[in-house]
Amino acid sequence: MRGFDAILVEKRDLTHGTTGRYHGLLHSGGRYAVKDPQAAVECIEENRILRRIMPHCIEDTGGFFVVTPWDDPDYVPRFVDGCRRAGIPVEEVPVDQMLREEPLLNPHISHCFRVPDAAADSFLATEANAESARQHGARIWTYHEVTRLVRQGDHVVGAVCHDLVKDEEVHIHADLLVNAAGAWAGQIAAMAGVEVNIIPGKGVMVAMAHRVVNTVVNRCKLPSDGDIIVPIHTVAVIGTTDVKVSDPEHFPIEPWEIALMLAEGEKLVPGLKQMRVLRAWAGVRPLYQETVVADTRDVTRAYTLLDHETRDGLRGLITITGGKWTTYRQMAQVTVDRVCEKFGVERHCRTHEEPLPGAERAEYHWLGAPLARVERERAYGRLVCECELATEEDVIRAITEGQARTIDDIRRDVRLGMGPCQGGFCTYRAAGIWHALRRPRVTETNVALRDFLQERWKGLLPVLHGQQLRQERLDELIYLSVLNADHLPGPTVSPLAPVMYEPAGGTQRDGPST
Amino acid sequence: MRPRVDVLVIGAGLAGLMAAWQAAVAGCRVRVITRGPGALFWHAGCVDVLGYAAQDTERPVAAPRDALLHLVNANPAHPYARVGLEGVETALSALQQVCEAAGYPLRGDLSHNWLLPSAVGAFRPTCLAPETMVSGDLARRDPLLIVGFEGMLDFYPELVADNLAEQERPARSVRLDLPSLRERRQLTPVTLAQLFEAPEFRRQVAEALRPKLGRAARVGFPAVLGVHRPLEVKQDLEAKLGREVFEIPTLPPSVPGMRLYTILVEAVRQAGGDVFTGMEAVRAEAENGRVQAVFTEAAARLNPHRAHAFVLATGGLLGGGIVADADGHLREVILGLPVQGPESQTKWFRQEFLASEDHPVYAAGVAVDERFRPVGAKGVPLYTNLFVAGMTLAGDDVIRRRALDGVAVATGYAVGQHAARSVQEAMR
Amino acid sequence: MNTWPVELTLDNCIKCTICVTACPVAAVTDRFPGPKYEGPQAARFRHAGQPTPDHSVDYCSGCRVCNMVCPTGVRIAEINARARASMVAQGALSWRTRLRNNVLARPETLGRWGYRVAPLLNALLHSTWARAAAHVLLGIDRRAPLPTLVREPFTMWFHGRPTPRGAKRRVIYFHGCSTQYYEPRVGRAAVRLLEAHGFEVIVPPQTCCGLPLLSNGEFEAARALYRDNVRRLVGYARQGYPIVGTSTSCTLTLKEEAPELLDIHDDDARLLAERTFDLSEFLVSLAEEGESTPVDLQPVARRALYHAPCQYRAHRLGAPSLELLRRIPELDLVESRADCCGIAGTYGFKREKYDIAMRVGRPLFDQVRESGVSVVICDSETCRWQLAHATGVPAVHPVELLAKAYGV
Repeated sequence: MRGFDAILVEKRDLTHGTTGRYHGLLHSGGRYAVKDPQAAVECIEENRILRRIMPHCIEDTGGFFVVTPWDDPDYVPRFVDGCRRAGIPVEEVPVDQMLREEPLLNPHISHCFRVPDAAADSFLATEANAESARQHGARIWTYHEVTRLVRQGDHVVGAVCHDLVKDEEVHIHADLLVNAAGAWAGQIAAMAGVEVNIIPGKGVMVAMAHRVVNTVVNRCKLPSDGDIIVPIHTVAVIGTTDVKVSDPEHFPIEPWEIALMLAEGEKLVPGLKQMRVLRAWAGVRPLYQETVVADTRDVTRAYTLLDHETRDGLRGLITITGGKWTTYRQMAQVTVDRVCEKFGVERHCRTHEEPLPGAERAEYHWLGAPLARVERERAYGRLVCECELATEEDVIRAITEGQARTIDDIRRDVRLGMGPCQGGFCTYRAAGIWHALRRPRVTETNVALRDFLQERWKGLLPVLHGQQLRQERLDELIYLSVLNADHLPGPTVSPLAPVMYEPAGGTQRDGPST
Repeated sequence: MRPRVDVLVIGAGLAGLMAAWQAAVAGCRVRVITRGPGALFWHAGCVDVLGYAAQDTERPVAAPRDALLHLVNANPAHPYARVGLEGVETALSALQQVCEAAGYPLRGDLSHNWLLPSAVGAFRPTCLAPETMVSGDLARRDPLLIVGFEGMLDFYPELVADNLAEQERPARSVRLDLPSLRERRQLTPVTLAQLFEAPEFRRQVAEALRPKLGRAARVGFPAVLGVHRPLEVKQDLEAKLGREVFEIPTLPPSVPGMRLYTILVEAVRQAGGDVFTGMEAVRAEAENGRVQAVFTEAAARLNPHRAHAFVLATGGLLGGGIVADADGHLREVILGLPVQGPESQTKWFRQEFLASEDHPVYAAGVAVDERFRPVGAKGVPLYTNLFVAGMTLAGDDVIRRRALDGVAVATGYAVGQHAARSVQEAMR
Repeated sequence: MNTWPVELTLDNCIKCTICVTACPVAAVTDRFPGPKYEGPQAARFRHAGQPTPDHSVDYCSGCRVCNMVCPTGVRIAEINARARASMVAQGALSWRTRLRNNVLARPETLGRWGYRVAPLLNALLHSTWARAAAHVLLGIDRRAPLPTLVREPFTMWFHGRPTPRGAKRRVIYFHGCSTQYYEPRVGRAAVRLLEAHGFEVIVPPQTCCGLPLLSNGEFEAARALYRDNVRRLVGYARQGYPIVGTSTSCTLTLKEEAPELLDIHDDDARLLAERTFDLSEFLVSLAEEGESTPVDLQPVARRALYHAPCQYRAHRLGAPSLELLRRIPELDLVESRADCCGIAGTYGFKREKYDIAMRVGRPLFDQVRESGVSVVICDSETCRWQLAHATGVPAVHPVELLAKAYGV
C-alpha cells in the first residue's frame, strides 16, 4: 500500500503458526485493564479499527467479565477503573439478565460486566489481508521456509528459502528484511547473527463441540489459566495455559493442561465436563523480553519493534515481535512507518481506513450465516463437510482458485473437517474431489489424505474420551475397515504434513500461575 | 413377576442379532432391544474374519483358517479362541445359510480371503462377501471400469481406478452425469439404491455406460445396487451391459450392511422373536448371582425387561456399551461390569492415527469365561445368566485386525446357544 | 426424566447417517434435507438471539422415526420442534400459514362449539366448495381426511349413564379431543373394558393435551393448555390413581413431549408424567403383575392389519397393543412393516405437505391393500383417518377390537 515491492514468505500455509492456533478473541482490552494498561489501550484502539475494516471476519458476540465464587471481589473496582482509564466501555449487567442471555452460565456468579470483546476468524482475516496485499502488488509465497539470511558485512541483503512443494532453493534479494516470524523470530534473527530473546509461551486451548455460550466469557480476575471461553463459529474455546517451551514447534499438550481447562471451564459453565470436547490445540505466544523472566504471564502483551541497525549495528533487518492478534495491524503500521523512515520516504499508513476485501457489505459475521447460505442455495445435498457446512463448490474453489497445497489448506479456507466428526466423512470426499480435479499421481493424493487424517488426529489425541472417542472409533472403522486407507500405495507422510505435537507425559505442571 | 421373554438381547448389531436368532431357533422366546442399529449400517456389509494378523500388519492374511489357528494358539483369551476354530466355521456357515435363504448369498470360506477394491482403491481383505461384490476380486487381472455418479459425494471413481492401476490392475474410471440425477438435490447411497430398484433407472445407467465400456471385463459401482433386490439389479445390469458387475462399499450408511441387518432382523422375527429399536438399556437388577431385569429408558419411566437369560452385545467403545470418561475410566454402562484395559489413560493411544499396531484402548473390554459370562478378578463368573458377545469383549482391536464381523458372528452365534442352554437349565 | 435441554443431545451425534436412512420424509421429498442436517448439525448454527437461519426444518413431520433409530440418543425430533417454535416466535411464517396452523391445531375449539350443530357443520365443512375455499385461502388441503363431528360428545354419554357399582379401584381416563368430539366409540370401549377389569372410571374435566400446537411451533398456547391439564389432573396423580389414555399421542405429550419441549420440570409435571399410561401399556402391566383377563376372550374372526403409529412407538415400551391383540382368538393379524403413515398429526392436512404425507404412507397403504384385510388397527386417531382415507379400509383403535373380544 505504501509503494514497496514486497514478498512475503511463509514456511507452510498462511496462519500455520500462532495466528491459526489461538482462541479467536478480538480483545476489548478488558483482560489487560489492570495488569498491562499499555496492552489494554492498544487492544481497544485496534478493536475499533478492525471492526471497521473487516467486520465480515468478526462476530460481534460482546464479552462478559464475571465474578465467580472462586474470584476475589476486590479485583472488581480495579477492573472497572482500569477499563475506564484505558477507554474501554464497560457496563454492569444484572446477573438475572446475564442468565437470560447465557442460560448455561453458573448461577452463582455475583457480578457481570459487559465489554466490547468479539470473536474473530483469523483464517479469514489473514486471507483478507493477503488478498489486499496481492491487490496492491505484493507477492505471497507459501511453503517457502527461510533456510538462511544472506549477509554482506553488516548488511542483510536477502534470504534463501526452501520451496517445499518443488523441493528447490529460492534466492530472494531485498533491500530490507522484516522479521515478523512470531515465535520463530528468534530463529530468524539468529540466522543474521543477532540475538533476539523470544520466549515461546505455549497456550493450550480446548474446543467444545458446540457453542455452549454465545458471548465471550472472561473471569474477572488477573489473567490466568483457563479463564476464558470464546464462542467462535460453531464451537466454544476454553483458553488457555501459559507454559514456557524451548522450541516453538516441538512441544507436547499435557493431560494436566486439558484437565485444567475443563475444570476451570466447569466453574463458568456447570456441566461442561459432561459435554463433548471437540479437540485441543496449542499455539506459542511470541513473548519478547530483553531480560529473561521466569513466569511468562508477567511478560507484556504489548509489541516491540527492534531496529537492528540501532540495536546491533546490523543494517537491512528489522524485527517486529510480541503483541497479540488483536494488535497485528498496529504492529504492521509501526513497522512500515520505520521502513519508510529507513528509505527516507513519507507515505502515510492507510490500513486503519481502508476496508479489506470481503468487507464491502459492512456486516458482521453471524453464527447462522453459513446455514442461511446453504438454505438459500438449497445446497444441503452438496455438503462435503456436513458439520461445518463446506459445500462441494467451496471445496472446488479452494482447490482451483485458492493456493491449496494440502487438504489442511482447504480446511483453513472453508473450515473443512473442523466440526465434531473431525474429518471422518469429509477427508475421503475432499481427497476424492482433489484427485478428480487435479489428477496428480495417485500416491500424492494418498499421502494428502493420510496427512490430513494425521493432522486431525494430533488435535484429538489429548482429548479422546466420551463421545469424541466413539466418533474416532467410527472414523477408524471407515478409514481402516471400509477403505483400508492404511494400505494404500505410496509414502505414508509428506514433507508438507503439519508438525505433530510431541508425546505427552514429558513435563509436569510447574505450579499454578494464578 | 413372570418374565415375558426367555432371552433378552441388548444390541442389534451382527453379534446381537446372531445371538437372538440362534436362541430363537433353539426355541426360546427372544426379545432384542437396541437404541439403534449399529455397526452393520456403517461397515462394508462383508464378513471380515481376519484381514491382517498382528505379526504381519503389512500383508493381508491369505488363508484365514491358518492365521486363526495361529491366533487361537497364541492367545487363548482371544474371543476367537473361546469359540474355537470349528465354532467359527459353524457360525459363518450358519450366517451364510440365512443369507442364502433370503436370496442374498455370501461367498467365500475360511480357506481364503478375498481381496476386493475399497472406495479409495486399496485392496481390502475380507472372508465372506456378498454375491454382488465378488466380481471385484483383485486376484484376477482382467480390466476394470469403475463407475461413479455426478452429484454423489460418497464415491470417487477416479481415485479408485488410479489406485488400482498403481497396483497393476488395469482400471479406468467414468463418471455418469444422468439427467434424472441432476434434478435431485440430495444423492445419498440410500436414495441411489432406491433408484436402482427401478428398471427405468437401470436402463438409463446402462445406456449412458455402454459406449464407455471399452476393454473392461467388469464394471464396479458404488455399493448402491438396490436395497431389497440387489441380485436382480446386478443381473439386470450385467445383461444390459454384457459385462460382470460388482459393488464397492463406501462411506456410511452402508447399503450392503442394511441388507444384512434386514435379513437378520427378519430371521429373528421368523423364529418368533421381537426386535425393538429406540430402547436404551440404562441399568439392571440382579439377585443371587442372576440378572433379573434390564431397564430401558422410556417416556417418563424406566421400562423393565425380565428374562431368564441376558445377552450383552452393546458394541464396546464403538457401539456405546463401554464409555471412556474424561478422567480416564472405562465403564461398562449397563451393569458396571469390570472393563479390562490399559491402566493409564496416557497409554490409550499411539501417536499415529493409522498406526499398524493397535491403539491399546481399543482392545479393552469385558473379560469372560469359556461360556462368555463376564468374570471378576478371580475368573469367576459374576452372573450365571449373562453372556457377552461382539465388540464388548476384551482381547483385540478387531477393527485393526479386520476381524470385526467375524468376531461378532462367531461370538454371537456361540452366545445365542449358551443363552438358550441357560434358559433350559433355569426351566428344569 | 432428563432435564438437560434437548439441544445438548446434539453432542451425541457421530454423523453416522442412520437417521437419514430411516427418515420417511427425506425419502420422498428433496424439500426436507433430513434429520441429521436439521437436528444435530443445524442446531450448532442456531442462536436464540439471532434470526433463524433455516426454514426447511418446517418440513420435519415430527414423526420421531429418527429418534427411534439414532444409536447415540440424539433427540432430533425435539431439536427440530424447538427450531420450528423459534421460527414461529420470530414471525418467520406468514400470517396465513400461522392462521391455518392454528385452525388445525385447535381441534377442541371447533369441537366444543361445533357439536351442537354437528350435522350442519359437517355438511358445511365437508362440502366441496368449503374445502376448495379452505384449500385456496387457508392452505388446508382439499383432499385431506377431515373427521366428522358427532352430535353426542363422549363425556355427554359418560356422564349420562348410571355409575356402575362395586368397583374396588379407580382409574382416571384421559379421552383427548378426538374421542370427545369425533370418535366417542373409542372412549366407550375403553370405559367398558376398564370396568370389566373392575375399575371405577373417572373422567375429570380436561383439555386438549396441546400436542397439535406443539408440533406447529405454537409453544405459548400449548403451555397454557398443558398447565391447565396439570392443574386439573395432578391431584389424582398425587392420590396414586393411574391416568390412562386411548390417544397415544395425548399420553405421550403428558408423559414427555410437553414437559420436555416447554422445559417444565416441576414436581407436578413429573408426577403427572409418571402416573400417565397408554391404555395398552396399562393393561399389559396388569397382566405382568399376575392379573388374568377377567373374561374368556371371544373370537373375533377377522383379518386385520395392525400398525403401531410413530407416537406410540415413541413411548419406547415395545408393542403392548400387539401383545393384547395376539390374545384374541381367531384374529388373523398382519403386522405393518412401515414406519409411518405420513399424516403426522396436522402435517398431512397442509396443502404444501399433503402429497409428501401420502408418499410417505404409500408402502403402508400398499401393504393394507395387498394383505386383503377387512380392518386396520391403529392407536392414533389421525393415523386411522389417514389410513382409512388412503385405503378405503375402515380403521379402529385396538381397544375397540378388545372390547368386542371381551364381550363388553
